[in-house]
Formats: sequence, structure tokens, C-alpha cells
Amino acid sequence: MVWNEDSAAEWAAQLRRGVLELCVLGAIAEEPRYGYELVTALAATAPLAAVEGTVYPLLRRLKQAGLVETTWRESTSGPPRQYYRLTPIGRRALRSMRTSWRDLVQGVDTFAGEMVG
Amino acid sequence: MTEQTDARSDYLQRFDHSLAQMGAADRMELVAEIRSHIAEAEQAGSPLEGILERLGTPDRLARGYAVTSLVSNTQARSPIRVVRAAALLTTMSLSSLLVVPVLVVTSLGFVVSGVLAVLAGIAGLGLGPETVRISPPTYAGAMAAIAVGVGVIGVGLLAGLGLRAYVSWAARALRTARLLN
Repeated sequence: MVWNEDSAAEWAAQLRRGVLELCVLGAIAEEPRYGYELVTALAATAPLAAVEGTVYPLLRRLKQAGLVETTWRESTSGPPRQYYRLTPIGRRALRSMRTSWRDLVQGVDTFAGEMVG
Repeated sequence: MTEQTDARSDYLQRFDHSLAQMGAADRMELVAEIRSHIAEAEQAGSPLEGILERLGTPDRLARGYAVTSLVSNTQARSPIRVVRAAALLTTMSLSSLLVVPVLVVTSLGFVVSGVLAVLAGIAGLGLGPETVRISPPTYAGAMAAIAVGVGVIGVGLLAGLGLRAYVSWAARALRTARLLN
């Protein structure tokens, strides 16, 4: 296979997708958050390159995979809000993703550090 | 203001329409989630136009969700769910428009004709109900019909497995390509 712009874009997309999952799970680790709050917080973090239209389907997938669960709650200021929180499986997934992420960053830094200098 | 209301309800209506392939309960929940998002964002002071732009077109947003449920549907064993996923896939990728119908028709066609051949063979052996018995029975011909029938059913089932594998592969490819642009 030839390495071209498409493969570079696909590689970057895959990398970000995995990282974004970690960010979503991490964002609701402390307390449940509702869709708008969660999605805009992620979308506001530029390096993640996440937009609302792609984060919502991701939330759905995490729910279908049993990593998060949702409940609807009335809001005083508008339509009901859907709150997302971790399931026990989601919590386990988050723990192992965090470990993998730290190991990865450490490993990459070992080499990337030399190259930057 | 009414123009805003129109744009909002138009967006939600088109989104709902684009979710037509999903179950009613899923559809209602997804529309409620997006409605809630738009209301919150407007309250936070964002202009409607920008909010809708960041959600993507209703069709594109619905496809994002469809790819999501597609991937979990293709893990299913139920042929109905696999065929439903396959049907959804044909609306999303051009190659599927060719591959899916060929595999579905091959699979169904081979299984049905295989079953018919076996039934004909059984009838030929004189084992079937009185009314469908063919006389005089030719033993060799009937046995051949049964053997061919079983073989043909096998090919049909293989095509079915092929369909499941293709749908699963294509769904993953689509997800990689679309989920993050």
C-alpha cells in the first residue's frame, strides 16, 4: 500500500477516535454530565478536533457498548436533559485506557524528545 | 423569531426523517437529545445557524448514528438484523449497492431452490404426501435431486455468511471514514 494523504488522514482519525473515547469516559468519571455540557466541553478543546455532530454518535456507541448509561432528568430552564455516567464496565475500560495512554505517552516521549532537541 | 423556530423544527424534522431505518424508541430518544442540545446552546447565547452547522446536516448526523448502530447490528446473529444492516449500508456506500443485492439474491435464491430440489427428490422417492408423489419414481434421479439440493442450500448459506462478513467489514470501514471526517 502506498502512503498518501488519505492514509495520513485515516491514521489521524483513528488516533483521535481512540483518544476521544478516553476523554469522554474521563469527563464523566467524577460526576454525570448532560449531553450539551459534555459535548461542548469536548468540542471546545481544539486539539481533539471533535465537533458536536461527531461526538453525539460516539456517545451513542459507548452506550450501546455498555460503557456508559443514561438517564433523562427535567431541567428548570428548558427541555429534559440526558445525563451520561459510567457503568462499572466503563470504569474498568477507563482505567485500562488511562494506563495505555500514559505508557504510550511515556514511550513516545522517550524518542520524540531526542528528535525535538 | 418565527424564522428561527422554523429553522429549528425543520432541522429536527429532517433529522427524524433521516433516522427512518431505526426503531421508533431510538428515533424518539435521538431527536429528543438533539432538541435538548439546540435549546441549551441557544440559551447559552449561540446563534442558531452556528449550532446547526456544528451538528452537521440532519442527514449527515443521522448517518453518524446509523453507522454506530450498524456496527453493533453486524455483530448480531439474527439474519433479519444483518439484512436490515445490509439494507442501510446500501444507502451509504456505492459498492454496497452492487455487492449487497447480489449476495442477498444468491443466498435466498440458492436456499429456496435447494429446498425445492430436496422436496422434489423426497416426492420422487415416494416418501412425500400422496398428492405430490410422482410415479413411476426413479430412485437414482430422486437421490441425485436430494444431493444437489443439499449442495445448493450449502452454497446459499455460504453466500449468507459472506453477506454478514461483508456488512461487518463495510460498516467498520465506513465508521473509520466518517466518524471523524
